[in-house]
Amino acid sequence: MRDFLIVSHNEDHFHLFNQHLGHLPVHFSWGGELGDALENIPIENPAIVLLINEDFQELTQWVDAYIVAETEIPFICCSGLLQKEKRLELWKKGAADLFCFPMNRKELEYRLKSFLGTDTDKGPDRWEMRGRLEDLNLIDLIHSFEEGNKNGVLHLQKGAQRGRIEFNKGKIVNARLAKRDPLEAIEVMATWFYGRFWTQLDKEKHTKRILLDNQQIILECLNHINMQYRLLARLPAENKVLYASPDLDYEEMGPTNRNVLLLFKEGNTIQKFLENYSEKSIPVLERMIQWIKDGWLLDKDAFEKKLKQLQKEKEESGIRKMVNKIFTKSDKKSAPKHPDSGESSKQFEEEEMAVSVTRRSYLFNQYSTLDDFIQALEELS
Amino acid sequence: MSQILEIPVIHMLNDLDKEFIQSLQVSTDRSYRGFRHIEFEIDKEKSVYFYILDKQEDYFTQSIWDRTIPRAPFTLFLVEEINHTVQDLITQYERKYATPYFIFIPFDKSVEDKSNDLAQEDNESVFYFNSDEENGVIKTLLSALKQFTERREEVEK
Repeated sequence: MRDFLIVSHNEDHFHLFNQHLGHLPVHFSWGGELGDALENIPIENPAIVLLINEDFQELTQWVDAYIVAETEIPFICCSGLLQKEKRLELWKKGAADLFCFPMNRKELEYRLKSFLGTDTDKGPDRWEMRGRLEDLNLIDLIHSFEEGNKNGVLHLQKGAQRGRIEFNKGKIVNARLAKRDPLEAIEVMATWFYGRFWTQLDKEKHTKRILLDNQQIILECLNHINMQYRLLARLPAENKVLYASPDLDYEEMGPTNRNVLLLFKEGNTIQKFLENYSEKSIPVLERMIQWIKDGWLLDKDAFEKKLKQLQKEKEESGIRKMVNKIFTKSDKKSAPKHPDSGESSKQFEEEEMAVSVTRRSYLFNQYSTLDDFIQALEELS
Repeated sequence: MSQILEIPVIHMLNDLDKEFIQSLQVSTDRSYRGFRHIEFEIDKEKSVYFYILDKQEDYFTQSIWDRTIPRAPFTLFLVEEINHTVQDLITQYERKYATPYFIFIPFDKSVEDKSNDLAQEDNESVFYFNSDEENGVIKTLLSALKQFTERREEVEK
């Protein structure tokens, strides 16, 4: 498995490579802009760097900067259709290859494969693998099992969640993650980009519970990953803390909504939530988008504002309760009793009478002093 | 002999001190069970006593209300805005007490249609006061007192 680092202004390019060429034994990683990529190259240590830029002038500047950086890693230039002189210029700068888009996918695949070289680490020990999902995701691992035509189990772990995928001669036959349907389990695990994996080879014939072949499963996973990316793009940043609105009535909700929103009660990020959530993420992310529109999920400022507002309403309702209590007590104490109070209109009149009887009289009578006060206040002003 | 004008105050302000107390030149500020007593001295012979009534749900506080409100010329409601809760409260108040009332609202200077002069809503019982101005409340109180005496004169006619 070789690492190809994609350098571009646009992260969609990285997703496109993953989507259409993820079946190759290549691990695509996203480098961002050239400056960021050059900082990360010593850590990532890719086999190839793809410099993708539609602007030829900027692309040549990137190539020059890349050469100055002396990474000694071959680079491939990717741009739009270029005239011969421009292509020659890039060749002369030392590009390992030059991809002019649009390009037929099969041709792209063929040309990328030429950089894969021979696999030198074949052997029986090769399949007893363990590692991090940050380095090899599920789709990469499925390809590995398929290539090796192996029987066994691929174990994955993310946080407290643990799942497994069973292979018969390189074909996926079953998957388990909590109580999920096998295909759903694989789709969920395909979105695990953090965690660890290990393989366990055996000679057992695992029960076939999935009818799709590997390619179809991978396509389903890619669709799932893409959908998740699209939904995440419509949500606030994954590391932004969100809060469930403090006035939500959890009893009125269904169990899924309640369980998810409770996880945001004290504040949570989407990233942390997804890391720990074992159910299918797509429906929940769709709900989150709606919750944000409806004000059920709030950012910190909106949450604090809402808390303040509720506090104020609580205080106000405290007055109302107290006043109601006072009034109810007084009315009950002194309300005259009428024996023939059967009809509703009579009852209303009786209530009105009771109120006027219990009403505290106006006792102020020092009106002359008010004139003195008015005069004194006017002089003060 | 000194004269005292006693005004019971029912407030629903977010920050009573900032929005009301600090706009007065307070000569006395004491808390008692059931109410807070704020004195504003007009001169050596005249003072205004504001009784900021507590809002606890107990018999003692209730009795403070019953003792102060009927004897005052009017009650002051200090509110941020006239919303549903305030309207309910006023309705309940009117059922319980015959003492008239005024509503004082600290006005937001960011609202452009409020001038520095104290503006009055269509509702004659509502007054705005400038909590940032020294004795802003007192100026509003003066307007309320004038209106109160005018109303009384009209009734007597």
